[in-house]
Amino acid sequence: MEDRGSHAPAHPGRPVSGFLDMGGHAATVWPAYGVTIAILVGLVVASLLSSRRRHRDLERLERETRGERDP
Amino acid sequence: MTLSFHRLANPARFQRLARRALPWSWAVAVLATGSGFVWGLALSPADYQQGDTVRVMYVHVPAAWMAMACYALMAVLSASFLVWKHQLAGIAALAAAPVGACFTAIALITGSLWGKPTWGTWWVWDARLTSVLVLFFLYLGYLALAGAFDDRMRGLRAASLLALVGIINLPIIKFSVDWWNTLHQPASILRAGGPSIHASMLWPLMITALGFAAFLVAILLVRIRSELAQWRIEALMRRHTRDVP
Repeated sequence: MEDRGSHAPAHPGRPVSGFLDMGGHAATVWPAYGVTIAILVGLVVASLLSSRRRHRDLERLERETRGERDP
Repeated sequence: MTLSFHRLANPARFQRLARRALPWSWAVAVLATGSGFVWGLALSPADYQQGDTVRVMYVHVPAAWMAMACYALMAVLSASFLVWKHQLAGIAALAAAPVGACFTAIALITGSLWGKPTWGTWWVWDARLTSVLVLFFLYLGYLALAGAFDDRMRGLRAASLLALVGIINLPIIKFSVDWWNTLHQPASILRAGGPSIHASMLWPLMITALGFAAFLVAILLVRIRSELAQWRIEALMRRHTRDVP
């Protein structure tokens, strides 16, 4: 994975292969960004799903409570 | 102490504010984090010593800042909940804990990935790394404690106390690199005399930090609204079981 042999100079406009290779540190840089994105996206999805479920349940409960009070 | 409807009616103002602030904070979160990542990965220069591994900094450092900011916020909210019995504050602290745990996990994992090529090891038990691990366990302990009681209010009070006691860990994290010998480098941004890194690296770092901060606001608003709904559900259920024996 880690190709320490190639120390391509890192600067804007370098070839795509050098960008993907990260100067031989692809195994360090890409997982760091990958893990960050995965954890943050996971947190968003979990939070939104549980929020939607709770608000749906709450709406149903409030409807039922109202229904009992004024039949 | 049980949760009363009057107290929950109080957060109506919060709900209005949240609805207005949410689209903006999501927009800033996505735009700033996106441009910070592109800048940090593709446009900023490689470090003359560390090479491209320095790009881990643009996720690692902002994540560590958010991990600590989120804990400070949680502690202030917990204090306001314990001292002034402000229930929305206690609920907000509960909503913040998993977010802080996530940012702490990101800081630990990316730090470990960065440590391997830079220090030659994934992990050392030195003051900085250990105190951040303690921060992670404080978040988990808070969540475990908050969920450990049948009476949720009692659980939240116990957890809030832990959050307050744990605040001692924040200065330890901040100054650990100055007080003890460590592999971790000292602060290069939040230091006396101003940042010591070049603008070409400072910009992507600060823009990613802005994106993470906006993300923190957005996810907190979503989670607080969610917790409020949950507490109302439980209050309704309690009333339901009381009315129908």
